[in-house]
Amino acid sequence: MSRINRIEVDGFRNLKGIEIDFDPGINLIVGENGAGKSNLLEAIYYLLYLRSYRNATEAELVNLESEGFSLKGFGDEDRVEVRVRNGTKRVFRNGIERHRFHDYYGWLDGVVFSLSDILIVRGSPSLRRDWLNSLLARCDANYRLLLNEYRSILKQRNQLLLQERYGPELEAWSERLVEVGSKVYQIRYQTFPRIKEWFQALAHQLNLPLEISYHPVTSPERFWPDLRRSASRERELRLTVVGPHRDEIGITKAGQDIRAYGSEGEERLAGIILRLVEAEMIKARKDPILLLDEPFIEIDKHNQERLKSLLANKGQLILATTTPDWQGKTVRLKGGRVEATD
Amino acid sequence: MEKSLERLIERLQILPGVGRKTAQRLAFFLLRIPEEEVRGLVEAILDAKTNLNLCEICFNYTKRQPCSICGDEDRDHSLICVVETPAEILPIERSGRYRGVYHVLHGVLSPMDGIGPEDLRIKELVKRLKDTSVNEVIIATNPTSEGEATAIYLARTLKPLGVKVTRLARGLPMGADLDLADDQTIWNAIEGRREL
Ligand SMILES: [Zn+2]
Repeated sequence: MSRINRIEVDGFRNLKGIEIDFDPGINLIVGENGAGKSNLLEAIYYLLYLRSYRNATEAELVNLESEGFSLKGFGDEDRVEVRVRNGTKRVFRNGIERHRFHDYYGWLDGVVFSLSDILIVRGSPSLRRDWLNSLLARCDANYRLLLNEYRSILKQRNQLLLQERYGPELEAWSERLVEVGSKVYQIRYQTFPRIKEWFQALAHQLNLPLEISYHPVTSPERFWPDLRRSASRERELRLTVVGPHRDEIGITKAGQDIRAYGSEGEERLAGIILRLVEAEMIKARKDPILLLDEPFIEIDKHNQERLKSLLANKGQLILATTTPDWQGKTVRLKGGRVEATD
Repeated sequence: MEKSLERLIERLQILPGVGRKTAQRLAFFLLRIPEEEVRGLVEAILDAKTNLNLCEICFNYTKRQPCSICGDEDRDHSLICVVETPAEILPIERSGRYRGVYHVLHGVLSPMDGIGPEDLRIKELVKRLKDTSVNEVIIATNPTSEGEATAIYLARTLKPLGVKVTRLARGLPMGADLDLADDQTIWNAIEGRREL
């Protein structure tokens, strides 16, 4: 099992001089609103992926009164450290400075559950694609590199379309787009059936008639002819309209789009299921830690109990809450500092 | 501030990657070192600038026309290695095993930077293939999005001329430039090249 054993945080949002030793099982971070509970989860996530799950910039993460922040994490085998000072970021794993994300990432994976997970279900298709990409990047080391490459080709190709520069130059970029895009598709096609299975199994355990489906705009084999066929639409919109960046993921309730036919409670539960799927898929490589930021606050008691039992044996759990009705190691925060531990 | 110092700092900022802060550091460094060191540097810059031109055949920097590589009869002139910049010839030459000649593109395709085929030395390469007998062109652009797209563009342009077009093997790690690779890695990449 993989886990985080200890964290030290200073100058990250409102957190000051924090040192916490975690239990390998359930950990509760309690305190009033503004005590820094979510910030602590965000700090842990930052140590895993070097970014905020709330999409904050580095400047926003730095405490207003300090020049930067420092984070230290201790796993079973790894020590990691991030220092941000005066706008420069330095990153260490086991005492060695790492300059590429690729060389840092992988010491530990984690999944965050938060109230905003409902947006993945309810929001624009790009949010569901982001969810899928983030999941696949953690299941397949090549996926992140392929996706980055695909995105930079797409940007360049769209620039040509914007300038109405067609001809052999566009053809070269198209060929590369199809080459790399097909590899992105291969991974999506290969992995989605397992995502679907997990989603269905988890929905079943929660007694919900929910399903997830993948709607790719093309396939590795059809990408090239489909791209060609889209030429006139491309010229009209001056955008690449065929490719993995246009795929959609649908969530349905009894066969109907959940966004139109589901209740808010069902949408919330669907969001939580997406996170659980993430955890199960990542597990195939390495157990992720689960970071819970009050995700169950809007869910009825009955389903809360079901979720609790679902999560109970899933590995290390760190839960930020104002209402601590779980059993576990408790850390009380106040004003960005640890007030008490038991 | 002294006018001469101000002027030096301003001039130094034409160098790529040099902002005001670095320019100041460089200026004070230059003032601290012995005069003959500075004179040597200035002369080297002027000498290179006045005496080096682009080789009319391969577009590498050279004092003579053609350059020493294009003028070397012992080299295999039917084998051309296409690189992005003159800097990339150095590591290949240093590895000492490549016996062909070169062609420098002076960049790669990048629509975002406004660089298209007409901004690179591609027309000149096509002319070279038409005028002389070339069997094979090895495309050694970097494995970036732009380098790959340029390789594809070149393959599509050159193959109709009846020449074999190959690409360096991806022995090089993602994002690693030819510039940084060691001799053996470079040779493996050349030997393992595949036809496009
Ligand atoms: Zn030459």
